[in-house]
Amino acid sequence: MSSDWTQHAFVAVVVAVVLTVMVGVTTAGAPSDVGQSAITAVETAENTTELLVAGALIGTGIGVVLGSFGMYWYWRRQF
Amino acid sequence: MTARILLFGVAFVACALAVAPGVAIADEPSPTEICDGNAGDQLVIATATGEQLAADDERVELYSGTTVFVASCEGGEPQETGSWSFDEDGSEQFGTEETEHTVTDANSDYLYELVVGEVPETSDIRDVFANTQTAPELDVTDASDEELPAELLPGTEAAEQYQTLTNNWTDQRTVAENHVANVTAVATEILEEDDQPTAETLSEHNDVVHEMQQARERALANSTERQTLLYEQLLRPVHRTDGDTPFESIENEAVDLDENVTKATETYQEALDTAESDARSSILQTLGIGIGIGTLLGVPAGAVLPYRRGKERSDFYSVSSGTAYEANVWLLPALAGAVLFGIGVAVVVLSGALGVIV
Repeated sequence: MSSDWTQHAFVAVVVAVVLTVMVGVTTAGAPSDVGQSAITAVETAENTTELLVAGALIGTGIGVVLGSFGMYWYWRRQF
Repeated sequence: MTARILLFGVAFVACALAVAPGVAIADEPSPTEICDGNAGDQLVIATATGEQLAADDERVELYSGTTVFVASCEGGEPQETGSWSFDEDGSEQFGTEETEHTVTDANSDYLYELVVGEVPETSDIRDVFANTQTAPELDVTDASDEELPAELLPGTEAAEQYQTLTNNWTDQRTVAENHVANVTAVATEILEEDDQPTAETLSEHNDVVHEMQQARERALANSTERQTLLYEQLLRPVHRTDGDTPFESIENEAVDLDENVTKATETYQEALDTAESDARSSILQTLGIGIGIGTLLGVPAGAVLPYRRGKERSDFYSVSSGTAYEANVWLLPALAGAVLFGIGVAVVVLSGALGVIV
């Protein structure tokens, strides 16, 4: 029972992440003004802390999934 | 927009140049029509299109260099030029000490083509045609000092308008050229310097580029307006022949300015592309560092729960085989990891970094 709930929640989160990325890519159109895209890019690059935190969150998420599955897989082979 | 103005300008000049020679060597007017409306007059001065400027005893103001036609009439019928006699033994130069007009045979038996003299003194056609008792009087104004195109008569509204437009053109070109110099210097600096420009400075540079392009639009519109003005004056019956026809120079100046602005814009666009590319690399680098650090922390964190459960089962397995090791031991931390991943992606999306990267 607990396993079913966890699996459903995991699938739901993955779907949410995929949808978020899809929406982000779709709405991230090129700015219409000449030079505006360069300004946006430079402005974004200036937000170093925000980018580092976002990267750390993504990395932690990936690491947690890999670490948990790796350890699970290790023990499964032991048994 | 610029291309459309240029295209219009080129087409306009082509039309103007095609029409200009036709007007400059316009057909002579019909002497029959000139005399028909002047039954009681002996001498009539008319334009190339036949418009009467003055007849006997009338006074007309003309600028030097203006070409007119003189018809001799009697009873409403034109008289052959062969019956006229010149003041100075058939010479083609006539006039008093102050005024000299050039009479050219207009290849007509009934008309003389008269180029009004250059000295600004009053004279009348009696000085030209000795056997004429009544004749129109000419007020000749010297236009040789006027820096006006031949199509324009000094003192007219069109001349004032042209002078204003020319002054505006000089100002607009100066502004545009200054912007060209500034934009080119800024673009070169961005391309050559290693330091990435800030968003604030880029925004300021963009404003300058925008102003430069607006100055170009205004200058090109001015050129078109001046050419239109000249073209309209060219179609008028009276215009001078002692000035330049600056259609080509106006067009050349406009094309030069347009090319300079276009070149500066292209150089700046190249600099913008470089700045954008550098910013994209910087974003990817920062995200990569964050992902690397996060992964190093996440792997051991995610392994904690499965490890403990596995260890417990391993210890218990030595006594009993009843304890199961199910998939939920990794799914629970994986769920947490997926949530963290989702939050991270959401931050990337909301910050606009995804749009820059993609």
